[in-house]
Amino acid sequence: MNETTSINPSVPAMYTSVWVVIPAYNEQRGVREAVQQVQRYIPNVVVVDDCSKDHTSDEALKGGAHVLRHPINRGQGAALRTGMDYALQQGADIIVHFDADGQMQPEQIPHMIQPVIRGEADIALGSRFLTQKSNIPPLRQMILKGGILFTRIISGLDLTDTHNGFRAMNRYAAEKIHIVQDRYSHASEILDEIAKHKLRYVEVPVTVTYSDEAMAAARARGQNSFNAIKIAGRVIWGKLLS
Amino acid sequence: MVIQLLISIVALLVIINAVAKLRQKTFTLTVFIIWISLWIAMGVVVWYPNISTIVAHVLHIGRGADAVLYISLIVIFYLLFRTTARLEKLHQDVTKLARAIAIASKKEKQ
Repeated sequence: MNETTSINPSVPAMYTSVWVVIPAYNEQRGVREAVQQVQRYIPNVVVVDDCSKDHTSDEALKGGAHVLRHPINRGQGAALRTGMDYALQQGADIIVHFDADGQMQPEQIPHMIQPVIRGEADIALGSRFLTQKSNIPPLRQMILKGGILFTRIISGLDLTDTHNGFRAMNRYAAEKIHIVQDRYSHASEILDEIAKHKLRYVEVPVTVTYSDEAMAAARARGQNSFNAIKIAGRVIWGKLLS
Repeated sequence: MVIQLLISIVALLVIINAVAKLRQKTFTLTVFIIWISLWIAMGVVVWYPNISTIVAHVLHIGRGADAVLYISLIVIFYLLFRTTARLEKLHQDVTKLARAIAIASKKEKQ
């Protein structure tokens, strides 16, 4: 990708208070490109480097992002919250959660934020199952369906996709949503918070590409289908402790 | 006789250690009292096993040894639960710290 990092002049003015938060752990290969692609639509990007062992921070800086680095690894949930706190400090009106691993399509960000900008929802959640385009491996699909059932029982939300990291929310929602689970259970936790604070939510169809590279990156982060069971356990445990 | 002596010595060492920890303020008074009572009780029961039988009868448990076992299990479960809760809190505090540091020392282009 050899595009300049300059901001696209066709970016609508209303997008200037939109912030995209990208948590990144050992993503030096893809983070710069991800930042540059996102900036074609949204100029404000904050990458939270979760104490990567590679050059994630430098690559993100070269891409033109604001870069925060955790001094110790705290997990994706913690990184998201750090990015959100920073964006709120910078005066963000809308915050988008995005991944650096190439699974998400930056051109879908404007679609994600539309319902929030129009005031129809406090939070928009990406769903892979509202469209047929995502090529999801069968095992993963099964696990994801299990997640849907789990969410319906635990938080009562009616969703088609409960573990999609692509989200857009307004300032109100961003201030309300507390993420205390540092690791991957934050997806369930965010849904819990939506239910608890009665936030208005809407699902937006998104395409997720399960390229070999993206899957390998996910595995490198210790995220595989069997982890879903571990996450469910943590969510229940968290509820017992709270 | 050997086991009685052994446990008594261990109990004594633990109690001495606990007093030191109380003085250094690494133990709160509550923890100190719980910890000390536990080991004193253990020392007493080792020398006078009949006491455990009396406790067992009060609790409607057949044998003294069973009473000791049940009570120990309850104490261990409680301590485990408390430790886990503490650890979780600690994790969250560490995250808050990491977050504050990350935001305060934002990376700039060189």
